[in-house]
Amino acid sequence: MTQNSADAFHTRFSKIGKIKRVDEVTLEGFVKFLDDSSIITTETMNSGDKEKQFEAVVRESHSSLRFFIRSLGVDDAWVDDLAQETFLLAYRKWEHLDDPANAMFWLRSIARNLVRNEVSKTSRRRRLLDEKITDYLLTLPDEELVLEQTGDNELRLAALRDCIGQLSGRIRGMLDARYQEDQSAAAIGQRLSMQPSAVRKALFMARKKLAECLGTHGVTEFNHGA
Amino acid sequence: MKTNESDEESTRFGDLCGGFLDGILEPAEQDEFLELLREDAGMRNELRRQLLLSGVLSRRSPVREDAMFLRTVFGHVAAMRDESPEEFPNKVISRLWALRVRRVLALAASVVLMVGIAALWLHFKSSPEMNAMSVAVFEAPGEAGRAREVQVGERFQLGEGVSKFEFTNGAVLGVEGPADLTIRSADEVFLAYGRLNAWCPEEAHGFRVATSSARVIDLGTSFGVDARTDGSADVMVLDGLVKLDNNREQRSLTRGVAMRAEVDGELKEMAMEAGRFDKSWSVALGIRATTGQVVSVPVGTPESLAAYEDDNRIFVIPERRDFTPETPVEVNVVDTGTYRAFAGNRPRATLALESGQRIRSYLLRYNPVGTNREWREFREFTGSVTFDRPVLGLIGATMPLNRSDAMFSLSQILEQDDNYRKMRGLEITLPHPPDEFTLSDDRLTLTVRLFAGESVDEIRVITSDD
Repeated sequence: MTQNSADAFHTRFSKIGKIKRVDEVTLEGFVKFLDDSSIITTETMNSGDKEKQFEAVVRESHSSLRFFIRSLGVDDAWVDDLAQETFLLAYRKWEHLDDPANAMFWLRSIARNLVRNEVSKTSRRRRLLDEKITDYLLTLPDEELVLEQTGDNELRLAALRDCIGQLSGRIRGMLDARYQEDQSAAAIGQRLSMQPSAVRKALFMARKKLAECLGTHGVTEFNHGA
Repeated sequence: MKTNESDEESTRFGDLCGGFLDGILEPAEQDEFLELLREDAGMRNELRRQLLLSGVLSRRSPVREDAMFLRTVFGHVAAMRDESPEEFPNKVISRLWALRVRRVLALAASVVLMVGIAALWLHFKSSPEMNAMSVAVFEAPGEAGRAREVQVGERFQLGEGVSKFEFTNGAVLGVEGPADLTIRSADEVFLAYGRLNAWCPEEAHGFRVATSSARVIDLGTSFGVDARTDGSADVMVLDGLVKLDNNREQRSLTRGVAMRAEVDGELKEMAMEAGRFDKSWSVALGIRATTGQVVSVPVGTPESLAAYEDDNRIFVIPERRDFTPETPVEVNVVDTGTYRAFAGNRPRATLALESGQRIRSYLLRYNPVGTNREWREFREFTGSVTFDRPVLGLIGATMPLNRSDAMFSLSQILEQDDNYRKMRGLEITLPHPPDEFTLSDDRLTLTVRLFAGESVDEIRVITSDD
């Protein structure tokens, strides 16, 4: 294990709850953690073992599925919930999946149904940004909602860090407030003496710049022209 | 001209898209946004990128990291795998039946309560003197409280258990039996024997508790009196300031000071034994009952309570009370029902308060002892707490908890631990079934089922304090 991965391990574990002495966490634990995250293999997919197949599919598809659910206009705070529900439903109905190679298409159809239920029900917990817009987004084909991810995840993250670094300090502060601290546009505006609408506009432009920057770094899902 | 129109359209699209991502579009704006999306594939693509980007940025937060997500999914699947095929439908059916029964009982209870309130209101309306010194008595924890008509001079000879007396001026007494208490006036009681804890808001300062050996006059907020049958009494100041007067001398006692008043007129300093008032304190705080691993916190200062660690119990910690918030209160939950603690990090509601409505808060807190432990080690905690005022809202997510500290917390130490501030709350789901909590139909009882490891689990409960 490299020093970098050990550092990453400490960072990760120090974020899991109230750890007062991070140096006590063993590196063996991290090795186990990495082993648990072993990548999907053809052998696994062909093994016929439901548990192994399911685990492999989750590891392979969760990121893309979460983005897909987000692209249907689901509130950030509820995307992971709906993705979890999708996987749990898939697990219960695993025998309905004809071929694990088609799992992504199948998972998306389950997710679409769950999101459609959210549009139709009057829930005390609002999971969609806007029912009317989601109703429309549900009519669009998969390929217009989300592009396939390609390339290495680490490279994508490095590109994102680089692109964020190119933004001004003030804009970075607004992004942190919005996405790390979960503050509303009104709260950010109050802190920065800006109208909420101006905050929303600034965030819109920042996301646009980031998308363009990521596109130039070869992160294909952000390329223009779906 | 064409370019200008296009620029304007693009600017308008940015405004609408920003509003959409914040979930604040008005109906007319929704229609306008939809029209733009239907007509322009470029705008659809820009919306896709905006949604994706905001998702990517959101996932940089530790609570939405990939590893966290995977552990949650595999944890749920592992729990589900061990269930028999009938278990899930049976749970749903039994929950529906319980809900129906609770609804019927709640309806019956509300009818009885309304009849009682109407009778009491009619009585008070025709008796201004009584209204000036009404005392609501809640006898024995766990039972439904009821307002009782109280006469000047009425004597309460209380057996085992703790009763609560609420005076019109806001003073609150928790009295632990066996006790003998007489109401002397709207702002004075006589305690022949027994233990009581008194809490007095600003409007009730000057409230007096007399014993055979001395009189305690409130000048601050909270104190305990332990009167014995031989006439002597111990007075302990839990918070604020009191004056002790035995007709021979007067002493001002500050927080943490304890004094014994002997029958011969002597006042002696003594060691503070706040634990004597644990039972009466929690009742005076508005906690009517707790069950399971949820327990009322022992008597203490806000700082000591915030630092309290325990591996086996979830404490109900009192916070700020009897105040009207000056800014809107953001909460995660306002409706009754059962909730699973998943991701819902953003506040989804603002408390709807009547003008001048007073509120208070409690923190349900699991804060384990010690440092590191095996991160996969999780234990289940269940229990409930019943308050004597209706719960108005719950805050269970990290950021809203952090933001609401300034309004509700009485302790500064909560703000000093960065890790704690990142990982408190219930939204972080680890390899176990989801945390669950239920707010009862009568809004008085919060039942929790938490899976906790080494991190702090918390729910902030906001109740009425009128």
